[in-house]
Formats: sequence, C-alpha cells, structure tokens
Amino acid sequence: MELEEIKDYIRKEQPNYSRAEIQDILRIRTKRSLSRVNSTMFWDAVFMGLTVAMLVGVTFIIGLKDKYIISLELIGLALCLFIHYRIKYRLLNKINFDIDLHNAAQTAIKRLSKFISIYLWIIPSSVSAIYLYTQFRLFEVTSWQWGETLSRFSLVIPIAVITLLITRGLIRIMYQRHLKALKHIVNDLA
Amino acid sequence: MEEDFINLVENNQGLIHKICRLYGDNEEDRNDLFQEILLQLWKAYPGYSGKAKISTWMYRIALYTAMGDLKKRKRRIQHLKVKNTELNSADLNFDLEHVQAGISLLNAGDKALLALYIDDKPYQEIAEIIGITENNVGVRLNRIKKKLRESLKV
Repeated sequence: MELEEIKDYIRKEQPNYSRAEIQDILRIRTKRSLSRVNSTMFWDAVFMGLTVAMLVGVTFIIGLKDKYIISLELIGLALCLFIHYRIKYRLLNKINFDIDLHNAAQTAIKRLSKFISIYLWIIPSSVSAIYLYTQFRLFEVTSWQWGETLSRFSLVIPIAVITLLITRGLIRIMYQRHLKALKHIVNDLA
Repeated sequence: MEEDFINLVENNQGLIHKICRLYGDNEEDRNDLFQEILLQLWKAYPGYSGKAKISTWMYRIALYTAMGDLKKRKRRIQHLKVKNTELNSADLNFDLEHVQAGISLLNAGDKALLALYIDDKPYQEIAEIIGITENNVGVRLNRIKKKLRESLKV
C-alpha cells in the first residue's frame, strides 16, 4: 500500500460538520469539561479542609493557642495552596504552541521536572523546620534536659523521611501520568 | 469571539478530522477525540499570538492533544496488534478496516507526520510543526511507507 492510497482513503472518509453542529459539540464538551473541573475542585476543597483541620488540631495539641499564630498559619497555608494550584494549572494547561511540538513538549517536561524537584525539597524541609521550630519554642519555656531534648530532636529525621515519601506519593498521583505522556510525545517525535 | 472560533473550525475542520481518523480506531474514539481537540483549541484560542500560521497553530494543538492520551493509545495499539494478526492476507482488500489497522500500528509521532503529509504540507512546514529537520521529514516518511507496506503486505 502506498501513502497516496491512504491519502485518498482519509480524504474520502472525512465528515463535514455544519456550524450548528460544531457549536453543539463545543457546548456539550465544555459542559462535560466543567463538570469534571467541578468534581476535581470538590476533592481539592475536601483536601484543603482536612489539611486546615489537621493543622489547627496540631497547633492546639502542641499548645500554640495564640490566635495570631493560628491565623498566620492559615494564611500561609492558603497562600501555599493558591501558589500550588496556579503552578499546577500553568504546568498542565499552558503549553506554548508558538513553538514546534517537540520543543513545546520538552519545555513542559523541564518545567514539570523542576517543579517536582522543588516540591520534593521544600515540603519535607519545611515540615522538619516547623517541627524543629515548635520544639525549640517549647524548650525555651521548660528546663533543658539532654535525654528529652535528644528524643524530641531525633524525630526530625523520621518526620522528614515520612514527609518525603508522602510528597513523592502525592506527586506520583498528580503528575506522573502527565510526565509519562509528555515523555512519550518527545520520544515519538524525535 | 465564539463566532470567530466557530468560523475558524468550520473552515479548517478537515485537519481535525484527518487527525481523528489517524489516531482513532473506531467512530466512538474519533468522535471523542474530535470533541477533545475542539475543547483544547477553544481553551487555547484567546492565547493565539499570530506568530505562527493559524493552520500550523491548529495542527500543533490537535496533534499534541491526539498524542497526549497515553493510556488510550496503548490500549488501541494492543487491540490492533491482535486484530492485525487475525487478518488473513488472502481475504485482504484495501478496505477501511485494513487501512485503519495498518495506520494504527504506527507510533504517535509517525501518525503526526502522516497527518501532515496527507494534508500536502511541504516538508518545511512539517518540520516547523513537529520540530525536526526537513531531511529528517523525508527519511521518516520513507520509513513510514516501508512500515505500512510491511504491515499491510498486499
């Protein structure tokens, strides 16, 4: 079979939609896409609610009942989540089609990989730093006892490791599929 | 803006249909892909800068969308490999199913080249859309011809 024959076959088999049909397809598809976005947003909201509840709970348990600290934590958390969603949206939806497909996909992979590495560093380090900070603050008001100090501080490494594992798992759920698809595009085009 | 967009799609729908034909195995797949491409074009439309020709820009988005669905593509390839082995060469004609089976054995990048070749795009424009050299376009199209001849063997 020659390419010319395939050319004829593809051309012959082509449907032709009217304006009204195109409009209908677009409306139906936009509606379906919106409902998908809504369901994603619902789960994002649930996740956010649980995180905030957890943070408030931990704050009270460790005894930081200062309303300003709690408010600052919530503002900080909201800011982090906002930045995260902006980056996520830009990474997955804003592909530059002014450049060729191969470069566009490569740029998206680079951006996504960079973002993933930042996540992997920042989240475990921040959680460990917050833990250390709270321990340090508590020790300011109590007496220094080496045994207790060591046992409290020795938890930093397990906390960092657990956070790293959780972060890796979440990143896999959120971005692995996209990353794989992009790598396939680059490989197939090369 | 919606009016302009509908006009654009109406005048250039052929390129979307060609891509759907090449990347979709059955009517349902093709309809789904057509809708998805339309949605992606609509989302990207406000950001069209005019740096590239509108057809080039549409091709990039349509091909990117078609190539992006890894799971579907894998399933499709596996399904068609089975189907192709079931075909008896004595019964083969250049029917639609046969041609579709041959095309589906190509990888997503080859299909992209084929889509542009079918649309009679010059090598230079194919290279610009895909991001490979003009020489490479020629080499790869020859390879595609060979692959199709081998897979269809008629």
